Amino acid sequence: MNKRDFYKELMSEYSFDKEKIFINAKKGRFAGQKSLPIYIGMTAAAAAVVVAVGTLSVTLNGRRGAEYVPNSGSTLAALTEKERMDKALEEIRKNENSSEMHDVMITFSRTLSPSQAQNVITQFSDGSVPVKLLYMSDGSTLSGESAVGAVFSEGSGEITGAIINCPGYIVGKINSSPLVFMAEIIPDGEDISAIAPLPTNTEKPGVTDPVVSDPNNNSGGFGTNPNPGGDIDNTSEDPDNNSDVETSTPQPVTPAQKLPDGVELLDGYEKPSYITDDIGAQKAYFLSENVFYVKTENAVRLYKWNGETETLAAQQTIADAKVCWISENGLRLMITGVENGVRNKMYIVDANNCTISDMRAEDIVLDGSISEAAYNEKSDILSLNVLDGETYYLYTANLSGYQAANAECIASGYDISLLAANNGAVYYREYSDIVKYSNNEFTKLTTLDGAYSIAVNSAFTHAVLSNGNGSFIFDPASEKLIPVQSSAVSFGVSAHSFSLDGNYYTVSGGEIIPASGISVIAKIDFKRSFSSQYMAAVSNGSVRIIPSVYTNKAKSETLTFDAPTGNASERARSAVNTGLGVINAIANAKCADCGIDTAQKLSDTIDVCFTKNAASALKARCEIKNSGELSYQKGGLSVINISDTTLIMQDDLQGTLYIKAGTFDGKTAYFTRTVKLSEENGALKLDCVID
Amino acid sequence: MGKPEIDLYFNDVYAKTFNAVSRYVASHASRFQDSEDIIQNVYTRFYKRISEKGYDDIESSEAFLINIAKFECRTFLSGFVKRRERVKNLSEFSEEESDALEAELSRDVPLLEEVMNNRILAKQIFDDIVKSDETTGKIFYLHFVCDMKLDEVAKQLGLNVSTVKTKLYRTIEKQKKKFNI
Repeated sequence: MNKRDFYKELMSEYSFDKEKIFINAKKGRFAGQKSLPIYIGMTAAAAAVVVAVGTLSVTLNGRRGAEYVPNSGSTLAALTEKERMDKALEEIRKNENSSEMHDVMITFSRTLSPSQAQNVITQFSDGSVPVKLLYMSDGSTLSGESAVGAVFSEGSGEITGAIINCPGYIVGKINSSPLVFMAEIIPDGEDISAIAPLPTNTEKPGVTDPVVSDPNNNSGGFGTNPNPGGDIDNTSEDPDNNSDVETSTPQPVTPAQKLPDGVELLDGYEKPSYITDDIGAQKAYFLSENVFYVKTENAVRLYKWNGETETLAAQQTIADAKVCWISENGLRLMITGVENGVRNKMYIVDANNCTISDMRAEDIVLDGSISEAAYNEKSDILSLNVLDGETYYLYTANLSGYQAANAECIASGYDISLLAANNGAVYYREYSDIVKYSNNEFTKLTTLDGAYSIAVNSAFTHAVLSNGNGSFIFDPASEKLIPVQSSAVSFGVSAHSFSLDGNYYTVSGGEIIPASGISVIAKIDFKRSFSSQYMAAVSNGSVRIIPSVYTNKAKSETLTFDAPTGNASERARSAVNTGLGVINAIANAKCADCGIDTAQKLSDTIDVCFTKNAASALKARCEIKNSGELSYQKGGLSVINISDTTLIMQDDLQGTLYIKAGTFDGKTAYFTRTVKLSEENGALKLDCVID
Repeated sequence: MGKPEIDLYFNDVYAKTFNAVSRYVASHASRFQDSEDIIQNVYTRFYKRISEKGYDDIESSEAFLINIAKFECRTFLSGFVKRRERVKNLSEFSEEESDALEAELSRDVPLLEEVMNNRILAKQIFDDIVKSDETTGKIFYLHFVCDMKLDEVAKQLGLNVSTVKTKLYRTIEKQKKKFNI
């Protein structure tokens, strides 16, 4: 025999037991669940012992062994359904810290497979849980080692309830399972054969125990996704609703000095604003300096903007598009969408190349639907949570171009919620467990009982878990659940910084530390921040384009969010306003519109409004000539609407000008500039150039 | 349709389709170790189906079974099951090493018959193959039992040919030392 024949015979002989499969198939036996906890045998043994000493009347029922004949007249059995449920909740509360062993009647919310039932029963127990009786969907009841053991080892049959024996403190936890309608502690000495599962056609009663699931949670799961399919961009306020869009007609400045004849300075200029035709826009924001994204009812689009007009660059028809990831620089985003009523489509939108690429997610979603999708760019981990029937499939993959690569899949019969990815590991919540999946290994980090609403951030670096009792931020780097005082946490597209109650913080080293700066805020207020020049806002199906507040200047300077209260005298304010009127005319290239139609007139106007030194500096900076044709440069000056300024004077000649920089994440911020005034020839003039 | 008739049909289908179904499942199961359970479920499901609804509407029993197998490969649960193995980077075998191993595979070794007759040792060698990782068992099964060439195995499993060769040859080399075969 050569080695090739040897391996052929070896693999043929030992790979599959053809005869066993043939016989089992004809007996209707499915494969056993090999990886289920091994203590099922112990469970069956315990059941046998209990049955042996119990008082059940049994009749043999073929393979399933025994069917009990119920007696009547026991205490619990004599109660009405409502009385039983009230009593059950009361007993759960009484026994929440009790380690005393009790017989417990578990009524499942629906029929469960043996593996599902076993998982529910043993979820909170480190060892075996004796099963005394099983209630099957066909109305039979099973007890005894062979009958109970056969159900769990063969995985066949549908279970509606069970009587187990467990410590009191576990009962509340079992009751909190969405798969459990009610867990009732059976009074000592009561005949368990007389008790039947509760009818499950009524609503599961609520309880105040924090470990019990939220009855208002309509997902029926412990880890809930309030936003199936993602949608990072559904939380930010539409910029059309804030004051940055407002424009007002410029008004003449009341000059502090007599201006040259025919000159009338203005207090500001209308902000440039462009509005498209009605394109059915529901959301719109710039992804780069010159490309903006638009979501309509049935499509997503990319438009190029050249400063004057928009051009449609890419379009993809897709219903109910939801954004599940946006890169921190805004250049790429990932969306899920609905096709034929099922959320099974994914696309990558690339603002750099103006492309919308189909990821062909339906090839792995198959008959299910995308419950969650997330991407961690740093770790290059794409995760999909696909719900198919009653099974969750958690896919992890890398992104290769616009396609998923190296996909792996984990399946679970319990609710799965994505949490985060970090350094090659994916973290998720399965039922109550926080689980880490890395290098083909699963590690249970901790258990978090109760119903939680879970929101993953865009960068897939953290998740916020909230319920009525509090909120946590999950930090995968430290593998900690960090408590926060409110669920109103917004990460935007930031990987680690977030806003909470108007303040900013960063998650670092398992701690939350204060953060600040426009660059931090820009990532949280992302819909208005990816372009330093423009912002897009939806207005009745059209898109309005206005100047961005997240300018390079705003990002490079320290802004103040403290609202100032002006104290300047009318004379000082007038001197500053007049100087600003000149600066605005130059910065906006509108000198001629102000009646300054010659170089001499511009020079004279500057001389009237500024001190000699300041006038000289301004003329040099803007290359303004004293004679000849009107000629000047902007000199780096920018328009400052006087209505956006507040002047606070420290003394008669020196103060600080607060200039509104815009609204950042709902809060108004200000540039600050030192202002100097000086008396010259009996007039108060601006002794500095404000820029 | 009586039970004897169903049984006859099932017996015939089972004999005709087992190799094709096994090959499909071995290729598509997330782990080779799960394959037998999946095949079991495929045929149990099939038998239940024809027992309850007959088989008149089944045009191709093999196609029907492969469809069930597709479903089972995807939904087979054993706790946390990893569905698809990430392809690991393995150092490639040189051509000389490959040629040497191919030659060795064809060399007659009388001892191997004794090994095969020693069921405990044979089972140990088999377990050593299928438990080493999740694809090596598939490669051995498809190559040796299904007589597929290594490039066909690679294509079937979505792996590089070099990966398939490396896994196969490394395992054979390892077993040569470990079991003295």
